Amino acid sequence: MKSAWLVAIVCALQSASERVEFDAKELARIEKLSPLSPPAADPTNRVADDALAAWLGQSLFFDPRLSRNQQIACSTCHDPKLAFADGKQIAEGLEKADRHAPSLLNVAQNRWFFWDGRADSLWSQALGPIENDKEMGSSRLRVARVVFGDAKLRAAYERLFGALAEPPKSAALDAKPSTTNAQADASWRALDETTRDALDRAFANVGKALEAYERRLVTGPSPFDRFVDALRTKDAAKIAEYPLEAQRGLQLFIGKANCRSCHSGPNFSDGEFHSTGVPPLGGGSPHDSGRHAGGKLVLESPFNAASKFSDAPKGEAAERLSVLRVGPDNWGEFKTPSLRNVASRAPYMHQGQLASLAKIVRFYSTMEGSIPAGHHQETVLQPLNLSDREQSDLVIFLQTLTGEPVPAELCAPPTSPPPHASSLK
Amino acid sequence: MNRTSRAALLLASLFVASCANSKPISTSATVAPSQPAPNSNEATPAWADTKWLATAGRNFVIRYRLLPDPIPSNESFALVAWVFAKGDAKTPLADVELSVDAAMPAHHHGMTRTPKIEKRADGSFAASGLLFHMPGHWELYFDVARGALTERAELDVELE
Repeated sequence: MKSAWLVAIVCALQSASERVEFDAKELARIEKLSPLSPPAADPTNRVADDALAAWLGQSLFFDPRLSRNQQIACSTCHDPKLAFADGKQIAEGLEKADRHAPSLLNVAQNRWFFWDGRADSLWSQALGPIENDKEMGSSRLRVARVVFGDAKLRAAYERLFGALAEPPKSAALDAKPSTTNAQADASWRALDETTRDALDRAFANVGKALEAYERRLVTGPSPFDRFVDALRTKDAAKIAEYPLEAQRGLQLFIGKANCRSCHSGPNFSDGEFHSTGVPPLGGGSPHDSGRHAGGKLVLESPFNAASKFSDAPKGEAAERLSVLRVGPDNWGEFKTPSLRNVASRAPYMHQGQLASLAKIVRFYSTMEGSIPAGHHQETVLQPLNLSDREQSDLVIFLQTLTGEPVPAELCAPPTSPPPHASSLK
Repeated sequence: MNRTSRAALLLASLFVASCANSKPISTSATVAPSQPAPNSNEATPAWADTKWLATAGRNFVIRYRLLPDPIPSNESFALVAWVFAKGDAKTPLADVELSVDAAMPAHHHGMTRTPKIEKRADGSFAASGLLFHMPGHWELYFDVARGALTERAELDVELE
């Protein structure tokens, strides 16, 4: 009995001596990283938090009929089994796309969407891949026909948005405004303005339903969140449950490694755009302009927050657009991804160039192979020269950012009937 | 002490001397001067209880109010400012233009936004749409233009 007590005391002393001590400044920085609040309201979409809209969006998200070949759904590249990503370097739809498919976990926390931020709302973003010729290759006309021709979808749509005009049967099914598909664009221009406007409106509404579903793809607390909670309540037992390596990694994250410079706040992202210096796949100089083009595209988008399809065209998001600064300095910049659930969604970076967390940490530690991104002058990234143990600690810390999974009922097409009640008035 | 701070100190003393009702103030360029006791004959000016800065060329003083104060991390903020000529703390200048911008010198980049500046009839300037998206050292610039003369005042901000 005595020896058991002795062992317990020795263990306690050992564990006390191995604890990472965080000073007041570090604790303040840690507190800013947790918890992750629910996504902010989206006034540009009046059905963003409506249950019926989420049901409709969930139905559409898994529906391959929206694609040109009837075989690709949103869930093809955003697979619930793969953290709502696809595990590939470059997304593959009808053909190989240009960038890596990002995870949709906690996607509504973003300020800008796509790697280059060419959309400023989740509903606007959802429309892009549907008509992208490399992804689903579809058209707003085809989408309207799918919804119009499916009694359940149409009923839900009309309860949310009012009557859906019958899409023209005579028009070519791929009719859509396009700068890369001349035939589809000509078919689109052949439609009269009233028809085009009705199809635009229906397409925007489909995006809004998709947003209502995607806003629910929220992960629960992670081991890191539980650790921060334990720090707040000074719960020694719970603090001790958090791996020592992760505590050291956290200390690096907010200190020497300066990861928090870009990966700030509870979503571990500043939501803005930076040049990482990671070489493009295949080598050479950076040829993807990233935010340089993305900033221009979001300002020109017919579905942006200031557009006639926005439910708050003079709101905060529209105001943000009005002060957006884009120019040559943005060349090769890409959005800072959230690090929540990062361990579950390899590979990483905008082309999936880095296969593992260990490779990411090594890259930022040495900056070996880093290339300047054209005109960009940002110099926030400097070699960190981390030891092997420090690199390992950072990886273990990042692994503790994996939250409790999205509820299973959101990981497949809805099995329940559409909710009778809608929050809409 | 850098050149801007020395200039601020010098201009501070000139500025304070011109405030007939003011109590002595701190020598820090970013600390609000104490305000006079309410005077029944004189309405409290809109710039009461504001912080102030002097331009590096010593010709102007800018009184400003951050909204909110302190500046939040990675959230939009705004400010309202008044520009005064050296030696006249009572009447904001009407014949000046003010622009506001910011940068992180260590990162060699600025804000991701271009703030909107509205010149109001009461002589104030309202700047909106500012965003400090990263923690670290920021410089907030107030550029005053009056005819051919342009001068800058800088506010150092450490953002956690």
